[in-house]
Amino acid sequence: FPLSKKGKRSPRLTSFHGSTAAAATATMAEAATRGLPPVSPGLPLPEELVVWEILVRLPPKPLLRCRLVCRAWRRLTSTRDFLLAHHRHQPSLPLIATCDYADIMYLIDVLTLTLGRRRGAAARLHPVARYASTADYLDSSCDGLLLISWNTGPPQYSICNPTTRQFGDLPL
Amino acid sequence: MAAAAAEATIDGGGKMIILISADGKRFEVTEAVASQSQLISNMIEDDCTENGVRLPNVDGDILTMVVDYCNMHAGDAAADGDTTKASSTEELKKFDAELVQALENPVLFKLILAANFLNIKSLLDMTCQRVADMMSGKTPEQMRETFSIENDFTPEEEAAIRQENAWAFDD
Repeated sequence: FPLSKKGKRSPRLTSFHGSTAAAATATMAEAATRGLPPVSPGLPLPEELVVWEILVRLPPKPLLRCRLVCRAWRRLTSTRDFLLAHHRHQPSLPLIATCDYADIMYLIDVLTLTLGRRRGAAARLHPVARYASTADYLDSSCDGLLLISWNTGPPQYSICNPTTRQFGDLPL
Repeated sequence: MAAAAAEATIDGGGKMIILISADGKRFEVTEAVASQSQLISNMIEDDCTENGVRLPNVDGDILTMVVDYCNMHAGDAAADGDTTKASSTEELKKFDAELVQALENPVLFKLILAANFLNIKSLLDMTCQRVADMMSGKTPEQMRETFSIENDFTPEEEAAIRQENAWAFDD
């Protein structure tokens, strides 16, 4: 059965973060020489810190929920830069794909390694996708997306985003 | 005077520098401890710490926590072979967990601002992770309360967003 990893880091992504970190350091150095705190009036923390240091660390579900807080958060968490930064903070977890021939189900689970380390492996298996067929096959995964194919008849592929529970067929 | 104290040395090696909080409290720390702050590390390199380092953005009570943290973590940066001086990993984890878990939001936010201003990445990471962990079980309403944010969506927009990822809102 295929065993794949979620959230591999591409070299391009790494260099992207290197450059933003350098820019952030420069900004902080400027703020320091002026001696001014970068706080907006009325807010306990500047928006930049909240978005780039806190929201990027939220797990998927609370992140989706935080998009209902206000327009600014929704806009800022929709940008490509934010999504890349958020992705970089997500743990890389092994995917486990199995066939259940008795119930004719194809199961894709993710094994969490970071949480509840003391619990048994079964408690750390979280379902990612369930297909009511044994003809589905997890081909590969990249940046949290799954590529699934049907192995009967002419080849058919679909992309699944288990986080947002969206999927679509690839036009081939 | 501050200048004299700042020039003082201990253990025949580590030069001491003085940090001065917004409310005038003074903290004497070694360069090794202080340079975990990238801001102060740059100042040490530029040789401008002789008269003490004034930190007009950081209150004494927050700076106390920052100095405690830096003292505790000074071993991290030490040479790999030097295991005698470095605090054990277990000890550090316990210290870090106790430091952030005891803090209420307003103080935690001030600590984040200080870590950001002083540019102490590990402290910023740890404090921001704590806020993210606390947010994880919260509803959008509770998140607004935490960050003093007004809801500027219309009821229709709000309903549409809930619809988009309905599973994220059911508990």
